[in-house]
Amino acid sequence: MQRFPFWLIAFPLSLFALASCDKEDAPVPPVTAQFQPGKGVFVTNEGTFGAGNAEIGYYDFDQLAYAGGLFQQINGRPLGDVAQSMTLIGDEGFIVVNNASTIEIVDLSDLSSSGQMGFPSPRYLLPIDDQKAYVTDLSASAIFVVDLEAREASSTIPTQGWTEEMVRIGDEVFVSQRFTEWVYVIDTQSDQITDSIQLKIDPSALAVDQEQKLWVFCGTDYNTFEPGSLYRIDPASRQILKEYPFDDLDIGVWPRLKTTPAGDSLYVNMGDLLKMPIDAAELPAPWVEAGGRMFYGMEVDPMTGWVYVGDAIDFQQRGQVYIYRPDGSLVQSFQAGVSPNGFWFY
Amino acid sequence: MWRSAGLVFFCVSGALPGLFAQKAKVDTVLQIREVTVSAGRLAGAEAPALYQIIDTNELRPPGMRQLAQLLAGGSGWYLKNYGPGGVQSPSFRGGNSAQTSLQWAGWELNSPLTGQADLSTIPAAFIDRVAVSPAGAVELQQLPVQAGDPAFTFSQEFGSFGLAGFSGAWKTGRPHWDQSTSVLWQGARNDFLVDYPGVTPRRQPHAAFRQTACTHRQRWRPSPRSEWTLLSWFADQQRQTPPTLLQQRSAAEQADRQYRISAETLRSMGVFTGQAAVAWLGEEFHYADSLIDLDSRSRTDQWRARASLQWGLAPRHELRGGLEGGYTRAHSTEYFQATDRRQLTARLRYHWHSSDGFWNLRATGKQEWVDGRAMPAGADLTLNTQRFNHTWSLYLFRAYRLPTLNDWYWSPGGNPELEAETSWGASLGWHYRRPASIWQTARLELFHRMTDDWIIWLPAGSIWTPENLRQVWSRGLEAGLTFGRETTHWSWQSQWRYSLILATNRQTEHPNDASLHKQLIYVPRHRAQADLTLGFGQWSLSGAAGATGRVYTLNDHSAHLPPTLLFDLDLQYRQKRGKLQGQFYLQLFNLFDQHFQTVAGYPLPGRHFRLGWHWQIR
Repeated sequence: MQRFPFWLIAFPLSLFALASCDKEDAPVPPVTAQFQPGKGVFVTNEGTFGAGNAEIGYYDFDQLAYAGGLFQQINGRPLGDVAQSMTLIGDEGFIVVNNASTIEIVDLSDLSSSGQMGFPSPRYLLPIDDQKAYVTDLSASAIFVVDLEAREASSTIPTQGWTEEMVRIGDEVFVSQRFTEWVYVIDTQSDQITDSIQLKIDPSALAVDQEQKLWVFCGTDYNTFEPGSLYRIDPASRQILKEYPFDDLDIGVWPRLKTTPAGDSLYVNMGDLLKMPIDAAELPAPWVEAGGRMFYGMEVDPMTGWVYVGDAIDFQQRGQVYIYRPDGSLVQSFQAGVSPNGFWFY
Repeated sequence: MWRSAGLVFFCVSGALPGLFAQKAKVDTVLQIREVTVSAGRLAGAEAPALYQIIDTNELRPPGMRQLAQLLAGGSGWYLKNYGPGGVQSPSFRGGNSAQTSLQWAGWELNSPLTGQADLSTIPAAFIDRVAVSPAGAVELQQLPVQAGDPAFTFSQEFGSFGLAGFSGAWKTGRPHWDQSTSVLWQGARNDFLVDYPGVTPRRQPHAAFRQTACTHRQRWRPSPRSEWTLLSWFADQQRQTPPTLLQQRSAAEQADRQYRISAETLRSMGVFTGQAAVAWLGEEFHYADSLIDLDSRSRTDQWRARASLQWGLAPRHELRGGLEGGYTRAHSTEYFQATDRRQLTARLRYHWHSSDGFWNLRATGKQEWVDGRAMPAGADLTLNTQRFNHTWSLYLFRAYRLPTLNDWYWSPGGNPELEAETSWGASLGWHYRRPASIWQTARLELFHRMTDDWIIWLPAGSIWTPENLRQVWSRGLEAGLTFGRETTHWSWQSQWRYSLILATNRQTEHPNDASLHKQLIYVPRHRAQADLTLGFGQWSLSGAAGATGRVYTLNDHSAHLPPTLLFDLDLQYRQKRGKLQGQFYLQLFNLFDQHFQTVAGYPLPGRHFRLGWHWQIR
C-alpha cells in the first residue's frame, strides 16, 4: 500500500511559517503617569479618519521628551476616532473625540478617564463659567449648552450647519460657522444668538488680541475660487476694522490663528507660518516657511511664547512637532502621533 | 422601485423564449463550437499561462458568494473588506483598487467616478470564469452554453446574522441560438458580535445589506460564419453603513445600481474575421447620512462602441487591429455641473505560434486619446513555451491608469492637471502539470512592476485634492502546489499557495515622510493559503486555512493589523437521481472565532455559518 506522501506537506508548511513570521508586538504594559501643572503640554493627535487611532501625548518640559499613546495605556482602551480638540478646565481635561461622538473627561493629574459625554459630532468646547460650557458640532445644526456638573447637555442653541471655533469676549461668545459667511454672536447670559457678522465665506479659526479685537480667518470660496481673507473686527460694533485679503487659494492644510502671550502679535498657520503685529498694514512674508511640510496644529506657550507646530506629513503616519522661538529659530522637534492637531498647556 | 422592477423584467423577459423552448425539450443541450470574441479584452479563451484562471463552475457550491471571496482565495490578492455587505475593494500585487481593471464582455466596469471596482456587487454565480492578467486586469467571462451544462439550477442559502438568499439559472442550447439567464436575491442583517478589547461589546448595528441582480446572455448563430451576442446585467444594492469600531452610531446608507447592456457581432470572411460591439453601462449611486446632513447622488452613463478586424497573415501569423470609442457622462451633486469624457482607443495585436505549437508570441500596442489629449502609449508582450509538462511564460507590459472623474472634477478639490499613472512591469512564470501523479501541478511566478505618478489625495486648506506624488515599486513571487489522489471510493486533494509581495514607495516631496522605501499600507508581505478536501462516496469535507502577515495601516509602519490565521470548514453531500442532482452544504467560517480586520476600524465577523442547497436539472 502506498504511503501518504508526507514530504509533500513539508514544503507548503514552510510557506505558512513564512507567512506567520511577522510576529506580533509584545503588549505595552500600562503606565502610571503623573502630570503637574506648568511641567508640560498635552498633544492631541487626531488620528486617521475611521481608523480609531486618535491618541493623547505629553511633552515634558523638564525631560524634553514626548510620550505618546497615553490614553490607551492609562485607561486600557482606545481614545476613539478623530481627537479634534481638548479643553482644560481646572484639573480636568475635556477631549473632544469628533468621530466617536464623545467628549472624554479625564483627570489631568494622571489622565485617567472620569466620564464621557455624548454629542453627534462635537468639535470644540468652551467653558463659560464653572457650571456651563458650549460645544460646537459638525452635524447637529446646534451649539450644545453643557452642564459641567451633570456632565450632559442642558439645552441647545439652534444654528444652521457646522459650527467650529469659539472665543469669548466679555459676555459674548463669537462662533464661526463653516462654509457660510457668518460669525454668530451668543449672549452667554441668555444662551441665545443675538447677532451675527457677515464676512467672506468659510470662517474657521478665531483669535482675540490684546485690544480685545476679534480675528477671523476666512478660507477659499470654492464656488467662485475667490481667495479668502483675514479680518480684524471690533466685537462691540461688529465692524470690520481691517481686511487682509489673500493672494491665492493656498491656505495650507487647516488654518489656525493664535496670539502671542501678550496679545500684541498674531501667528497665522496658512501653509507657511506668518507672524504679524496686530496693527500690521498687510500680510507679512512667511515667518517660517513650510518647505514641503504639512503644518497642522499650532499653539503658543503662554509662559515662554514659544510656538508649537504639528506637521501632519501625509496624515497616514506619525507627525512631527516643531517648537520655534518668537524669533523663528527652532528650539526642538520631536515625533508625535498621527496628525498632531493641538497643544494644550497644563 | 418601479424602475428596478422594470429592469428586472426586461432582463428576465429576454430569457422567456429559452424557458418555453426548455419545456419542449429539456435535455438537448448541444455542443456549440467555442468562438473567441476577445478583441479588446486582455484575456480570453486563449489566455496565456501566466493568467490566473478561476473557473467558478469548479467551485462547488458557489452559493451566494461574491467575486471578492473568489479572488481573495487567489494568490497575489488582498481584499480590503469594510464588513459583510460593505464595499470590498481589491489590491493585486501591491496595486490599489483603482489600479485593478474589472472587465465584462471586454468593457471596463470600474466606476468612472472613483475608478474603483466594488467586488461586493458581482455575484460569483453570474460568472463562469475569471481571468486575471499579471497587470491586474480581471475579466469576468460569461461563456456560451456548453454540452453538459445544467438546464436549470436553483440555490438557496441561509446563514448567521440573518443571511438568506436564493439564485437560479436556466440555460438553453439550440443549433442556431443559446441563452442563459440568472437571477439572484440575497439579504442579511449582519448584526454580528463586535467584541474587541477596550470596546463595549455590541451587536453590529445598522449593517443590513440587500442585493437583487439578474443577467442574461443570448447568442444567435445564423450561419457557421457569423454570430450575434446580447448580454445584459442589472444589479441593485441597498446597504446600511455600520459604525466603525470606535463610533457610537451611524445613520449612513448607500444605494447603488448598475445597468449594463452589450451587443456584439462576429463575422468570419476567409482570412478575415470582423467583430463589432456596442454597450451601455449605467451606474447610479446614492449616499446619505442624516447625522452629518449629507446627501450625495451621482449617475454615470457610458456609451461605448468598438470594431476590430483580424487578419490571418499566414498560417501561423495573425494580426488584429481595432478601434474603440467611448462617451461618458456623469452627474453628481459633488460636481459643479454635469461632466463628460470622450475616449478613442486604437489597438493593434500580433500573434504568432511555432509550427510545433511549442512557442507562442503575442504583442499588443495601444494608444488612447481622452478629450483630445493623448495618453501614454500602452503595450504588452507575452511569450510562452511549452515542453512536455512544463510551461514557461514571460509577460512584459507598459500600462497607464487614467485619473478618475472625481480626480479631475470633484468640487472642491478636483485637479484637472492631474496626469495618468504610468507603470511598466514584467512577469516570469513556470507551470508544471502532471494530472496523473500525486503531485498534480506546481507554479512559480516572479513579478515586477514600477508605477510612476501614483495618485494620492491630500488635504489642502479645508479640502482634499489629488496629486501625482509617488513612485511605487512592486515585486515578489507567487507559488502554488496542487496534489491529490483518487481511488474508487475515496479521494483527497490539497492546494497550497503562497505570495510574497514587496511594494515600496520610492519618492516623496516631504522632508519628514517616513514612508520612503517602506512597504505600502494595506499590502501584506506574506500570504499563504492551504486547503484539503477529503471525498468519500457522496460526502466531502474540506478544510481551508489562510494566513496573512502583518498589514501596515500607517505609512511609517507605526501601526499595523496583526497577522491572521483563519480556518474554514465545508461539509457537502451530493445526491443524484436521474437528471436531478442535489447538493447540500454546511460551511463554517472563521472556525476559531478570531477577531480580525482587513481595514483598521472595520471589524469582521467571528465564527459564522452558511447552510444551503443547490439543485441542478440536466
